[in-house]
Amino acid sequence: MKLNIINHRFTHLVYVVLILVLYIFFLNDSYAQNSGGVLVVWESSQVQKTSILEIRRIYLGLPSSKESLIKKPIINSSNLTTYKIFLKNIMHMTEKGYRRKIVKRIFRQGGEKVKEVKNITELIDHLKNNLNDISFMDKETAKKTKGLKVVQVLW
Amino acid sequence: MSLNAGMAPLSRKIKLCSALMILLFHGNLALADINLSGYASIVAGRVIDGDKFLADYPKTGVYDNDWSFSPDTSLGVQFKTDINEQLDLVIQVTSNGASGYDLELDWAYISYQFNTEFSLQAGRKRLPLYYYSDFFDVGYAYYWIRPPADNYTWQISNYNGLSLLYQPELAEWDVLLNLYVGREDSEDNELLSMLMSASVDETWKNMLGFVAELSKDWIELRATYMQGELDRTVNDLITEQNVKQKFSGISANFYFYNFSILSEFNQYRRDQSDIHVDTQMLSVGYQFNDLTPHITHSSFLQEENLAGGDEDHQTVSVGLRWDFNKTTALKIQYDKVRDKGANIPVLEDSDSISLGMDLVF
Repeated sequence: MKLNIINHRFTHLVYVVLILVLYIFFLNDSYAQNSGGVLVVWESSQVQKTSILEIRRIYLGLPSSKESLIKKPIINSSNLTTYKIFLKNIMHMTEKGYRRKIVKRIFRQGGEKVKEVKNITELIDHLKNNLNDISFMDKETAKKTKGLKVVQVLW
Repeated sequence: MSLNAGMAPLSRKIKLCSALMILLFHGNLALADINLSGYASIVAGRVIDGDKFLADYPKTGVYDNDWSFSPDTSLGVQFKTDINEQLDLVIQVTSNGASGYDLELDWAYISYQFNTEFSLQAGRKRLPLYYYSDFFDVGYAYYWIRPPADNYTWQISNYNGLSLLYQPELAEWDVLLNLYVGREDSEDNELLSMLMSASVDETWKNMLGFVAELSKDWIELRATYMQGELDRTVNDLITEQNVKQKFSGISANFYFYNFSILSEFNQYRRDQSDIHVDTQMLSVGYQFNDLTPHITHSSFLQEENLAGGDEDHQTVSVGLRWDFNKTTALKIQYDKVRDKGANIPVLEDSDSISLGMDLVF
């Protein structure tokens, strides 16, 4: 009898853990799916739409193709949620993994640091003065921000 | 020989000054065009049981029973400038406590970018034998105080030559293929001179090497191979000439959820001298937010040969990395070395503790 109760409780515990795991999985997934992200430049920029693979390579510090006209990538960390979704959906890595990868590239292959801006005003100023630089943000912020052009939808 | 020993650092300083002058006074360059990056590791440690701990083989960083900053403390500054759209100049100047804080030129090369995938470098680079070889001093890039000493036992860290890099697009995979050729002349080599208690000049020539890396978010795979010839002079007497040597290794790193599993297996063969060395490392880390505790086992095994040479030592390291902020990590590490070498016990058993701060800028 005692053994049955223990077994029963154990089964309940397994169900609870399973439900929690599924909840976290779907919560994370819907959270990622519901937030749209776009690639932005200054409105007079000639930067062209390119592949997601190339955007990933550019953010890893690798050279861009001549056709895309992209010079440098800018990390927009003004919205940490969007930044994390960008890392997950486009770079396929965590923030720590991304930082480690960039540091290795700088000192192994003479790469350059990827500039990071922490507020939208600073990002707008940078893109205005560097027409071939790109950044990312969520769709809603891009719509509301004057002077920016959406080059393509990222996710 | 004492004149040679004195000339080596002087020669390095002259080369360093020449390189910096070229950088600063080149007609097409302005200081504003120079991209500056750097790293620093400030580490203090001591042996708490035993006499000595050889923490850094290439630079002979040795801890004893007193607290010391010298063996692992290092600083590096990298200058990079675009000479034109396809041509870059990269110079990295380093200073290490183990080498008496002398300025040294670790990297100095020009890089030509053929297209988005191919580039060719000519000049001085780190020799990419082991997984961590070419960023060995950049402590921020890994969770230990230093990469496991049992694995990183090579006496030559750099080469002068050519390096061809190919980094193609392959879906979500990052691919790097590197073919290199070159040579290095090391006067009064630090590691060999310490181990042999004599002045040793070493040349690695006709080096031909290959590195292949494949990685994505949860996995990193690396294979490496190098062959070449070795010349050695001990107290001005030639002891080895045109001796063939081979190095091969594989690494596999896995990142599952918050776990990191890191591994490395390497072989060094110099048949003519009857030297066969195997090194390996296995490490597990777990990331709790900004904290990463880790445990590592590493070993070095050189079978006993006709000359009576052998070595067998193993290290267990336990440590903690704290990512203090985005550019700084604080670390603590305990290393337990067990030296079973019968004929050549390198530095015998020891237990050591080290505390460090790594940063990048």
